[in-house]
Amino acid sequence: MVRFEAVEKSFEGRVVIHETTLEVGVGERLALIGPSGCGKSTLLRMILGMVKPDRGLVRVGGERVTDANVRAVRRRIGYVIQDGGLFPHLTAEDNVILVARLSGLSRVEIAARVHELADLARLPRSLLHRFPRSLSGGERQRVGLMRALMLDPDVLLLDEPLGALDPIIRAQLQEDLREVFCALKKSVIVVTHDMGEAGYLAESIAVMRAGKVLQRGDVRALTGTPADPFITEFVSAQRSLAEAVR
Amino acid sequence: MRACLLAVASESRLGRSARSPRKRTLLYVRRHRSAQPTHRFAQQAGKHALRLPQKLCLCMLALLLLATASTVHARGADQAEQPKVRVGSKRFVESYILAEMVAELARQQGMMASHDLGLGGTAVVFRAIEDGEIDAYPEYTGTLAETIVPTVPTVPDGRRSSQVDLTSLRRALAPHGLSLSDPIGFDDTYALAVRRDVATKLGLRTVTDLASHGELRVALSHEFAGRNDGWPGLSARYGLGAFTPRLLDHALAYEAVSRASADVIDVYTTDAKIARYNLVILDDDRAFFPSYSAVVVYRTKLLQHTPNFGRVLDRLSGSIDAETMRRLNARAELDGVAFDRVAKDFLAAPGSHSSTSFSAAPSAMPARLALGTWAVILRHGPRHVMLVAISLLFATLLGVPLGILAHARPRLGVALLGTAGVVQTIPSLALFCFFIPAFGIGPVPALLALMLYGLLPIVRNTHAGLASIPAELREAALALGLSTRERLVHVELPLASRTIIAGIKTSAVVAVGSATIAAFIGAGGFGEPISTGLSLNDVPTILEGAIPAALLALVVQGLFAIAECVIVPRGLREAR
Ligand SMILES: Nc1ncnc2c1ncn2[C@@H]1O[C@H](COP(=O)(O)OP(=O)(O)OP(=O)(O)O)[C@@H](O)[C@H]1O
Ligand SMILES: [Mg+2]
Repeated sequence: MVRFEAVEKSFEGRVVIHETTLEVGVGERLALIGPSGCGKSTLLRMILGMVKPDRGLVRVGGERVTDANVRAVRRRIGYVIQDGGLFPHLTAEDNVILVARLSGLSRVEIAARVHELADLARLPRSLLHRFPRSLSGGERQRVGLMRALMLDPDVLLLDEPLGALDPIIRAQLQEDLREVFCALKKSVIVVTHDMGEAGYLAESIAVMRAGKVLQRGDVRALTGTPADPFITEFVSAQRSLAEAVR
Repeated sequence: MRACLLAVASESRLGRSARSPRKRTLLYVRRHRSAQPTHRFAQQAGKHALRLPQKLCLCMLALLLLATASTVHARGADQAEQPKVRVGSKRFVESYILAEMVAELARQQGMMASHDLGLGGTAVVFRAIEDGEIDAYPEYTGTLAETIVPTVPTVPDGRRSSQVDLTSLRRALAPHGLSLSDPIGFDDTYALAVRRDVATKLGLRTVTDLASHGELRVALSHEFAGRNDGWPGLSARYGLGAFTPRLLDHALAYEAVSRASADVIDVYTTDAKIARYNLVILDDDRAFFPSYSAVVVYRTKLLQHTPNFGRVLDRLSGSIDAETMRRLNARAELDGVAFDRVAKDFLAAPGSHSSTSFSAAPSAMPARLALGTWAVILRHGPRHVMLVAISLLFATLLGVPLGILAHARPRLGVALLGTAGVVQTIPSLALFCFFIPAFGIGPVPALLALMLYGLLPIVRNTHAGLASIPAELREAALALGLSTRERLVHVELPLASRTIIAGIKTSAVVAVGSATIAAFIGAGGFGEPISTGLSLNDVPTILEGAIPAALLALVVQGLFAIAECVIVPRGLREAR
């Protein structure tokens, strides 16, 4: 569904993404994990055509992302960022329906879809008329998710969607997200810093470091047969509760 | 451009063109007053639109015309059968009085006469008569020769030009459809004046007498000191090199001489204060000063349609000498007698009305122009509001897109913001004058200048508002697949709306202030009482314009507070 073919990217003469090839199939869920600044968000932005690779190309649904089709591609992708990236001047509902309204969907269709999504994202409907500033962090994420899903995209990109939440809300949202992913069978790429979360939300995990994907596999493969000492280091840096108690 | 600056900025009481450009500002501050009353506007604006390449301004004009439709209508209604004479005047007491006399005499001849008080400076009034908005106004031969029909052979510096010959002036005016009366009888020109006690003690009668008294202290107005037909020429003619004149503002000169801190000052020969401060005018025995003989300029057609007007001119001709004019000026200026009263009294019994002011203590400021606050607001407010509203509308329509452009194209943006900043530093009067060659005098150049002034805050704030949108919101809008236009309309402008409105508000408040200066180029508004008050040195009248203008600024602030509630999206306002 999403395919990076030997992409490379430099910013201001500094290589941020080294030659990378990566594929996420239809209905497949991938977690991108790695230290800060290793290029995770940059990869997501390439899919959205907001960052253009210096070399190589990005395909979405087999189609190469170009200037001409970039807007159409974006509408087939749902994008959720930390804290939701909600527009403060619009209510939760207006945030969710903005694109649908502009693409000329009927009011009835839109209303039905909003209710459906509110249930899916477990957002109380009474909150739909609030402005983002009077929603909690978790509620904002749910609205952000609804907005991303509004046009029923093929691909869902989430950039640290749960980064700013307290552990209880976070655990709840992890469950809800997983449910949504499984229910909708979309291709998903989720960026996270948490190995546990990555393993919980995605089937496979790509560990990145300094613009390179070091290894891709499930949690077992990463812990059992690490391709790089860094992976071991990274995995062991994720302290578990058990470890803390011990 | 330069010519225009001269014509407008250098209006002196006599409407002479300043020959010393560096004195312009002072001249303007002291003497130049030009503006037009509201009801003239629709007509004039309409004419401009037809005559000049102003397609850009057509919409502005349309709006203005719409707003003034009622006044135009009212004007149309009073076109009665009776022969009608509209008399204009410039903005100083003498012109007011003479115009009142013309109007009063016309009434006595069975005409319907109105007086448009203080239309403005020479350029404005002359334009009004050319355009047929007035039929007659008092003028001075020297002014006509120098500023209006400069084709009349100029008299070489230093030769008395009382010989500015009427025949060639008349010939020059004829193509404009204008004629000239015979001289009214007095000259209002420059002269040197000395305190009476000094003159008596030293036996001074003429300027030649003065030359041998180098010990006397000469205080000159900046204007006089800088003009060729002022001190430099005079000094050369009479050999006054021994004197080292001090320069001071003309308004202070009489005070200075009366307090004996100066002995000799420059005056106009009909200044009301000459008698009041007990000064003696030194005879210009070598005929240096040019002649500014008072006359009436009138539309040639007027005399054709209304032969009776000839009697008005006959009655005036040779009827007022300098001494009499000085007294009449004093009655109005120092005693606060209404202009029409002064005129009527004189016409009823010339010579019988001496001013009481010679003995009186400095009189209170004349209150005759004081219309009362509400009357002033009603008379000038609509025009002022219109100037502000329309210039603001166009500043916004132009400024917001420019701000967007500046943000979208950073390099162009630097240039745009820089240019807008430079425009802001141009003195307002200069900017107003800049448009006169193309658009004439009146509200059109004023609107353009006000619009340009209003541009910077709007462009800058639009740019700043857009630049301050957090990157993640930009990214979110982009990722949603919105087009550039959709992003702008639905995300970026609403997010920047608060800053943009603040910019428009700044611009509006600045416009309320700058619009008072628009009166100097005949655009009307609260600047009119201000400029009139300045020309008459009449503080209450100044305040009549200044206070409503200040109040309007407050009202504008209030309106914007409301507008903010309506325009700024609810989600961006403070949580209640
Ligand atoms: N527009 C840009 N211009 C210059 N450098 C950039 C730009 N975008 C990203 N970078 C740089 O590229 C590198 C990778 O950035 P990226 O945002 O992809 O990191 P990340 O893995 O998402 O980090 P984090 O976990 O902190 O979000 C960083 O060093 C960043 O400074
Ligand atoms: Mg990132």
